[in-house]
Amino acid sequence: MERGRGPLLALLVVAMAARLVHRRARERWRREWEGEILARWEELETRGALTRRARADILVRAAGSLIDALHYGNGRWRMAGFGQDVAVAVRTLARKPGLTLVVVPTLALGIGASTAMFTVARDVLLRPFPYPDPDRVVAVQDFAAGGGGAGNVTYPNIADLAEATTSFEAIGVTRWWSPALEDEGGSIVVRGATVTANYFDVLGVDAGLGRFFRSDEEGTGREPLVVLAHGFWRDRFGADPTVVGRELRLSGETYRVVGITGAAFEDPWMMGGPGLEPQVFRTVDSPPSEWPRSGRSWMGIGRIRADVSLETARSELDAAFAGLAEAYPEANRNRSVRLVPLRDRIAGPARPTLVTLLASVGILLLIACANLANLLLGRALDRQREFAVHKALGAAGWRLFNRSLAEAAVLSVVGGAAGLGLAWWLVGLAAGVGSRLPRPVTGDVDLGILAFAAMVTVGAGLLFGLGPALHAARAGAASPGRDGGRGNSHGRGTQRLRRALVVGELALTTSLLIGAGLMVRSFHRLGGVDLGLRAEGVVTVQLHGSAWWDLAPDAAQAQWDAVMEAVRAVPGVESAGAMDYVPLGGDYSCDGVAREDLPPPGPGEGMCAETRMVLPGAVATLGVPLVRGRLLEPTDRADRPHVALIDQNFADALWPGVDPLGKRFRVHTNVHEVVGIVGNMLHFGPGEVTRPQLYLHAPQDGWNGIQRGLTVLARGSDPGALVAPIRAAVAEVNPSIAIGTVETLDGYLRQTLAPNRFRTGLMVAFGATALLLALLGIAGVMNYSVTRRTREMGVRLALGAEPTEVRGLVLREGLRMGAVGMILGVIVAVVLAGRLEALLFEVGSRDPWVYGSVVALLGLATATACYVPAGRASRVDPVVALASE
Amino acid sequence: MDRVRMTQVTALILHAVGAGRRYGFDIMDATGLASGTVYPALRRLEEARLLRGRWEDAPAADRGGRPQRRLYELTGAGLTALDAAREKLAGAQAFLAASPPIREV
Repeated sequence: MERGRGPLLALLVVAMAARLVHRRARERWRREWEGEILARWEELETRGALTRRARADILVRAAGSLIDALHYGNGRWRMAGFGQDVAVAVRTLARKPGLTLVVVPTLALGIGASTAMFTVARDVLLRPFPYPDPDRVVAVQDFAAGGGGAGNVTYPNIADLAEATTSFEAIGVTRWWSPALEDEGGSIVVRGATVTANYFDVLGVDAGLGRFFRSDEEGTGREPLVVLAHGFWRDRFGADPTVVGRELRLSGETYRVVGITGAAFEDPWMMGGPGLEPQVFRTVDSPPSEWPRSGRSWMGIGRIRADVSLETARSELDAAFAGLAEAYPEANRNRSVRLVPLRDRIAGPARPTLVTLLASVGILLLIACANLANLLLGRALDRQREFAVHKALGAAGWRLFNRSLAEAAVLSVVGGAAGLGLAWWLVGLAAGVGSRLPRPVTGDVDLGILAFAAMVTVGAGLLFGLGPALHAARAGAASPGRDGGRGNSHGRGTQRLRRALVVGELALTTSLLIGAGLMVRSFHRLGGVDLGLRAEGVVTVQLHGSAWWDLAPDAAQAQWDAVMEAVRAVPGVESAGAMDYVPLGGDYSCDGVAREDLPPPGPGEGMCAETRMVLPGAVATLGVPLVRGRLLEPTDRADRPHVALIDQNFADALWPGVDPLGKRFRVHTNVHEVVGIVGNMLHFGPGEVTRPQLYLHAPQDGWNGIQRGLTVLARGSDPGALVAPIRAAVAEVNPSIAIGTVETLDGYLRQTLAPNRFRTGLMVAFGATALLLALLGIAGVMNYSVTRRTREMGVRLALGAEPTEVRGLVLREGLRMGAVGMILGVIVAVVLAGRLEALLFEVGSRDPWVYGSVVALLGLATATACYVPAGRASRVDPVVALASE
Repeated sequence: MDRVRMTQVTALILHAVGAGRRYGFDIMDATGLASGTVYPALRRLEEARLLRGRWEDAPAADRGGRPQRRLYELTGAGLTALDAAREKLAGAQAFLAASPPIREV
């Protein structure tokens, strides 16, 4: 309210309140309030006493008109239209809180879960990246003819493509980097990325502080520079602005900090989830020509020019890549590049999971609504008599319809509000670290989310409220007879509707359970996969520090001999070894190899093999079986012939159909002889691709691999107990060696399977909830059916029917409903399950075992749910049943 | 016609009207009661014929260019009820004055 404009707000409140007053009395009521308010206003104004406080007082008084409106007329509720029905509904529900206590939590769960899932799906799948023109940012991917793999690219290829095309403002690459940050506080491993200097230009973002890289700041001989991520700068350096320009020691090298990313910066390549994004960025330190053309360990990213369409860019890139395939057939034959909008590249892999979970939650909500409709219909049947009396007293059908719908509306609004609260909490959970989503969940409850929740709430209210409301509206056709109109045709119609609802619930439950069953079976298959190693009993202890890097080969040999000897001496250690990249740990290195007897490939060419630098004992400790030949021995020193272990894939790729033992090949700058063939292991976990694998002895490769990091492996019956003594043993040999991640191989395996376990668990929970709801629904309907047919049962029993026959009668009725529901559900599942295929491992989407189990389970559960009402029917006392009529 | 329970609120309102406070907002000023309390009570009292409501004279409202207010007057029954309430209140006051304060044991 402002001076000069009159008490506008107060009048507005009164006008709103007037809507609650019956139309006939509305004008009159409103005039009185407006008269008072305006008279008071005028009086205060005349007296010059229209203070802020006085104006507020008028507004408060006007607010009281709402209460007056609710009470207006006869001292009773006299509200108009739906408002009155709502008021009555509130009172009715408050009188019988039992119903509310069942309905509201059910609805809150359904609405909350769907809203939360929608929020997560929106944030991950739909939210644009926070870059200017995010649609022009694309991932550049490189796939073999057969498809598969992550679509990683090689730096030389991308550099050539950038040169050969004009559709792009810039194309850059990035790859993981895990340096150890060394300062007074000790040594910690940080998450880093090696990027081309144009990386941030491709994204189109500005530095929050300082600057990003310039185009001449990459390649050999430049000063090493880093950019820090905003969160890392804040947490590690207390957001100190003088960090820019300061020098940092990262893995033994000195880097100068040139800038900090903006607070809202989102690096597109998060390693598996929020909180895992890079903390430091450095530029690539050697030119493209020095990187292998076959080692596809980079992620390509480009920004298309504003005047070029995605299609044009694609065809230009295809043509340019065809040229590369011709120029470097060894590395690029039978491969193709793809341009994928960044959002699809990043969020795409999560899409099947999120869409499946969203659909499942939606189905669950439908089942919940069907159940509530059933509940309310059951209640409506019980109130048949009440409705009939109302009708007899002159209530119109639409009036009863409105009143019944108002109850549903009140229930759904309360349930929706509770659901929104639940959703907010659930989204908070999902936003936490470790949810392993490819993009952060902002959890912002904005208008879109509110609209979604409101839509779901209204939809749910209509879904479960309409049936009972229609029932109430038509109820009056019956006379308010002594059986409450139970036996009339209208009641039968309602009971038919309830059956239909139960059949629908069972159908949806069947399809949901089949989906859950497929995922459980797939998860079991995944867990049962032979990894090619024995994960149980192995603990891995990552070592860090640059202390050992500058050691001469002899000194290095002495140090690692001492370390391994000390580790093997730890009580409880059955075997021990060390290697650079631990299986299941996520990291790997792909190194180019080529046969010695063929002309050496050009720079960066040759076959890409998963290469591991090991110290003796590693292969045996992992439990990777030796197929033929021998393992690496401590005697395979630098001065002895260079040897190697390979797996069968490696052998097949280099020497198809020939015994590889004794064959020689080049890797890095050396020639190695194959002395043993070991089993292939699944480095990335079950269900992932594997490449040819190669094990080299670190001393024979100039201790090169050790610079990539070294992890001690030890096997014992209680691996957890080995950690502390191993730490102590390492510290004894060289106290400057820092300990990084400590994890068992089993632990790594669990992490690898975590997303799968999570979604399988959710699906099982959804399925179980659906089953429970469906069974409650069928039990309720059967119970009512038995009550209604008490007399019929009595007559049957009186005429000599056996109780078992009567019980069978009821059971058959229930199972018939169950059968129809299950048949429909199986049909739905057969149609929809194909969509699940992307999430399944070695299980067909029509796996008969799963379908059979679900049908058997549901059949059994349905019979159990019907058993109690059936038993009740068989115990009807004919005399009592007939006398009650 | 319903009977109205004589409560502190109804008694206060009847008293205020009897004392010449005839408009809703004036009654609030006099009694210190909120509008959400006063108006429903006025409706009940009018319904029970303890108060009579009528619209104020049109010229007064026209001068301010606003709708007419509704003013309330005591009816005969209202006056009787107010007297009865006052009597009861006087009795209660006499009782309070005569009895020693009750202490907690």
